[in-house]
Amino acid sequence: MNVNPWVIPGSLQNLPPAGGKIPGFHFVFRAGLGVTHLYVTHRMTLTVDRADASANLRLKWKEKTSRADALPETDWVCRAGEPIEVIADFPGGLKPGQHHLKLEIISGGGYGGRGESGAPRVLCEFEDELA
Amino acid sequence: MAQEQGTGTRRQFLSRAALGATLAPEMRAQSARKRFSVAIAASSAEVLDFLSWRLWDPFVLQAGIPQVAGRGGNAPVDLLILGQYQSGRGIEVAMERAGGVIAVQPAELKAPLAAAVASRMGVRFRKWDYKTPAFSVATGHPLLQPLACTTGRSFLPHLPFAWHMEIEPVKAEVVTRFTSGAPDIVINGRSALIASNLVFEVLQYHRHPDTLQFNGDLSLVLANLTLAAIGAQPVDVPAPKLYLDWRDHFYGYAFGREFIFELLALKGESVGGALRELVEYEAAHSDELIAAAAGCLLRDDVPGMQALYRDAAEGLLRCRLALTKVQPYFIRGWHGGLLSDRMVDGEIIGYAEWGWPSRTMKWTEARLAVSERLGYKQINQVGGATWDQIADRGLTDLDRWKRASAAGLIESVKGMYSDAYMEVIGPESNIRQFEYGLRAFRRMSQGVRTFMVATDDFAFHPQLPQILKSFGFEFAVLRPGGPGRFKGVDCAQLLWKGLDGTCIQAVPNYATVPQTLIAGNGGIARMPQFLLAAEKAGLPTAIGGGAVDDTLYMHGEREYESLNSVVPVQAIPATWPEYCQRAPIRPEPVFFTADDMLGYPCFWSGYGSINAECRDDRRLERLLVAAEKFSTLAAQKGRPYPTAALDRAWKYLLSSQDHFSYGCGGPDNPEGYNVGGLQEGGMRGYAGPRIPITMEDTDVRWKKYAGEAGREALEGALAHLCRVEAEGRTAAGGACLLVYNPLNWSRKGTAQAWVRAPSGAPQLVAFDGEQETGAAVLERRGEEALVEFHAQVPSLGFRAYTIRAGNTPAAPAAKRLENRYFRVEVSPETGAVTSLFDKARGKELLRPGEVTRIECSEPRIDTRTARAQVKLDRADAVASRMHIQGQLAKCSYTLLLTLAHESPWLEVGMEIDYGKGAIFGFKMKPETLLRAVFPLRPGSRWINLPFGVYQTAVANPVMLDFCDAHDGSSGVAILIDSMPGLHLADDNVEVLVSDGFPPLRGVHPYRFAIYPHAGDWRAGNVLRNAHEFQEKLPALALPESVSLPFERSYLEAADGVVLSALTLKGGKMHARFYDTTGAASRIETRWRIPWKDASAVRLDDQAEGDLPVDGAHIRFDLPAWRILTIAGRSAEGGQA
Repeated sequence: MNVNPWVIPGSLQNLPPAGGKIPGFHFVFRAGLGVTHLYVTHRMTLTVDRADASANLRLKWKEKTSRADALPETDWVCRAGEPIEVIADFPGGLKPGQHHLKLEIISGGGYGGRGESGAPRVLCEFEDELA
Repeated sequence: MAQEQGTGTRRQFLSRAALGATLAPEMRAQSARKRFSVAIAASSAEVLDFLSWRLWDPFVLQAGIPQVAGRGGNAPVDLLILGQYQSGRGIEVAMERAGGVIAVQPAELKAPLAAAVASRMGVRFRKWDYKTPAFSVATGHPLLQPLACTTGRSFLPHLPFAWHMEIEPVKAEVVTRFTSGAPDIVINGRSALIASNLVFEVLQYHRHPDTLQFNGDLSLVLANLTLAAIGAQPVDVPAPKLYLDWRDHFYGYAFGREFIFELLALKGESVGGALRELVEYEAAHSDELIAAAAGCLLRDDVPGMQALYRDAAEGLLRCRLALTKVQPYFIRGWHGGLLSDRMVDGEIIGYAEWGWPSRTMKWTEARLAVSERLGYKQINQVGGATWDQIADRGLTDLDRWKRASAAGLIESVKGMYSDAYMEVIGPESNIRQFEYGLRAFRRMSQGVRTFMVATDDFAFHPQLPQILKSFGFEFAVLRPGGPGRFKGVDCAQLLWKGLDGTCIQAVPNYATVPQTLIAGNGGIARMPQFLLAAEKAGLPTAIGGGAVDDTLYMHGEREYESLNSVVPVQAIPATWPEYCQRAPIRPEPVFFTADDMLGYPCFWSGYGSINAECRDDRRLERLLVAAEKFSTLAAQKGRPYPTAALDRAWKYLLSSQDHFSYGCGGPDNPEGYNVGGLQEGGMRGYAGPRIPITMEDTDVRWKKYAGEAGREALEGALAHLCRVEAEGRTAAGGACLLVYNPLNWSRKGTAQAWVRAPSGAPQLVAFDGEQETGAAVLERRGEEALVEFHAQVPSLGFRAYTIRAGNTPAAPAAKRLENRYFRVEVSPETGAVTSLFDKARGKELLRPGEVTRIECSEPRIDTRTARAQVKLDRADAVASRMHIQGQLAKCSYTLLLTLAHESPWLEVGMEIDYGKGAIFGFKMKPETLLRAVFPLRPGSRWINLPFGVYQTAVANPVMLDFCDAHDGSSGVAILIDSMPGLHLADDNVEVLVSDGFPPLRGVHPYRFAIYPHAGDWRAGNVLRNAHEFQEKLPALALPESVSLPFERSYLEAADGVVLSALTLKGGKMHARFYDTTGAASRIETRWRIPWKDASAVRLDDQAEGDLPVDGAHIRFDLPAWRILTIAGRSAEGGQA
């Protein structure tokens, strides 16, 4: 199993039902060493078991929530270890059992000469079991 | 074993070298001292070094000399050290065969501890936990005796987000516990287990005020664990002070020894058997000496220890001398940070390294103390602005610094007021950076002799040799960091020849020898590779190192300085003059073109925020220069010169040019906080500032002051001159406008001013006492109107106008942009310019089938295919204007193409509303950013940088004022007043507008112009037009009216020379000129205010010879591209 030290075990959970239906799921990961410049995200994609779950993706950091496609409107620069919650629409939710999740961003760049190729960069990839 | 797979050279070396295993047998036989074999592995080179160097702790050396037997193989060893996340069957086998074990998390993350390992360690594995308490605390275990630790004291820090093993002791004794109570370090006989990633985590606290304490405590714990693991008697008394003072020298010896054997390994077969034997013998002998030295230390015999230590180190030096003929030098400099003059809630506001000022001051003084204690030579590359603040606030003993400077221990370098990108700040800012910087450095040093930038900086252009020499610099170091590159040359030293021919001794950037720095694992630890490359390049001497900021982990620093300040085993710790005076100089001077030294000013931010900063900075520089010029003239007419206010304004402007504040992080600038409070989030016990600072706050404040002070000085001086010169022909009231010209040639152009003009007023005209010209009302606010009119103003002077009712010439009927120079066709669908026709030369300026446009790769933008609203919204007495409105992805934009009837250029005003935030393209990939694209005709491309003009053939140069596209017979210049970034590809000239980092917010205005001309940039007067474009004729409403006509010119000078500055210093006028033609000429200047005397002076005000003065006339020779300052007294006996 691919173990990502920045994942918070057990944080993968379905969202509470709304109108009798589970609208999606959420999980928490930690920002890696250095700084993570979420505010220069062009695009963010989430796959769950290799299926796309990127529509209406939201992030929550320091009690603030932003749509993934509106991150340039924020000032989110996360430092090592800070927890970031990812909230995804996934009608019906995830079934109990093992799931593989991968969160990627296409970033505009970063501080200190950090150029970007325009290629997706994995922010977080892990497998976890939903009870 | 996992560690066998390591690809790092150092790890490979250590695996192969089998130090000690091949030591001369007779040496071992002669030694009565016990030796113990060690195998060691870690996935981090820093962790590995930390662990391996601590094997040479004086306490450990008393028990035996370590023989690191490599990382692989199955040979049994006395001690196996697993530094981090090592697991697998190989580890288990190695553990079985090892006499003793120290294991840090000997399992893959989230995998359980192998049963055999758990059994050996005497623990039961429970689980991995993703949260780790902040500290470990001491138990009463005897192994902690040397620390004199009280039980329960927190002493080893952890990263709270790191993972640790939760273990339960079965037979093991607990040495330390997490604050949660769970065991961290346990020991079971000769086997020790560390449940946290302890060494790595302690190293992450390098910016904590207690970092040395953490480091030292861990070293002592490791020493005792080592002693226990090899079956020796652990230390059971508190460590003596002498041990604490000197132990780094022993770790330094280990580092130096490792250097020798790595060099030996890298040289491979080229080292013969006899030489190899000699090196091994020398090293083995030195090992004996160092162990003996440790004994002396622990017996409090410091002189004995020092003598033996020196002998041991000299043995290593002989090894190096035997292995290479290259003489290595190494520079250890520190850099950076910006201390502001603001205090909030009792805290000084500082940025970057100075984000926690009290800690940084202590750190800086600690560096000074190292030099004082060890005689170790270092470089200070903290900017003048910060030293000014340190001096003003009395934060340190400046005399101590001066003494260290006088003793040659601390060399202050660079001499600039802030770390500005010299290539994109204005000419006069280039000069003032040194003028104010050197003044600040004189407060704490003997002066500055060397120009050197830090490894995160770039500040070069081809006129720098001239500026440096004129300020008295003797040496330059051509080694930029990330924000640029400098062409490499493999030689020890060269003569850097500038654009004007001035030469300065310079240390080159090597072409084939990789730079080494003190920081990180690529630092001093790379000296073997550095020396080998230098040897290959044929260098007799080579110098590594640089100035690195305190935010980085200085791997191996204390070890390096402890050893090499005694005996230069790895390199001679040096200052630049020391190196430059010894290293041979290549005799032929070397001229580097602008393309040879390319700056990337976007490095710490992005072109979007750089553009905003550049626009403000250039505007303020022009304001202060104009204020100085007219204040100097006014001072000759009795008005006090505002020295203090202008000095302060300049200092603020120069500070705001620092690469940290220069567009860094953008308008919201969270970087200011994140860099300033670098470790706050992850640092337990953080005691630094918690003020949510942004650089923006300070920067805005600085610029506000500079703007207000500049305007007050300028307007006061002009009003004074006007009053004095009008000689009583003034009257109260009226609406007189003074259009002024700080440039040294007469100008025509449009001037704008707000005037009182009732809304019912008829057409307005501008009247200069002799003729009327039409005035256009651009905007009304109640009784006030913004009027624009054609004005003509003499060189360095002014002309008065009144705005009054009159017969305005009829507006042109043409419904398109056209004047006698230009005809512009605009697509009514997209707003793209489809034709730029140069009427004077009968030539289409755009390539066939091409149009101007705005482009971006991400999000995909191309205004050629996007609909826009296009209308001619202005056609009046002064100009015609096309108004274009459209979308750039989510952002709206407006383009105003303005063609004044008398203007030789098409002015483009652009506004982009970035809304709440937007990014464009990918940083450091200019071809992807938001760009204004001009598809011009093929040919050569020319740019200007401070005091010079250069042809460029690279894709992404920067420009100061223009980029000129020359097709052999004529040219088109893109004139800018900010936006220095360029992308030149496919014959396009593309101006970089916005970047992928950081986001821009709100409305940003941009201005540029398209200027077609005959001939090349010289024949087309491109530079002069660029200055005029930037310095739109300013107008000042006078409080009183003057009798018209009224104009004054204070200077007439030959074409091709620019009056860069006119200031008053020490009672003398200083007029600074520079050549813009590239040809030597005899310059005639005629002044309205006659000079009593004049002499040419260097930039540091040293006189270079008297100049003939004939009343108002001063003549002087101006060599090509030369900057010349004339200083002298006014014959009018004005204000001193």
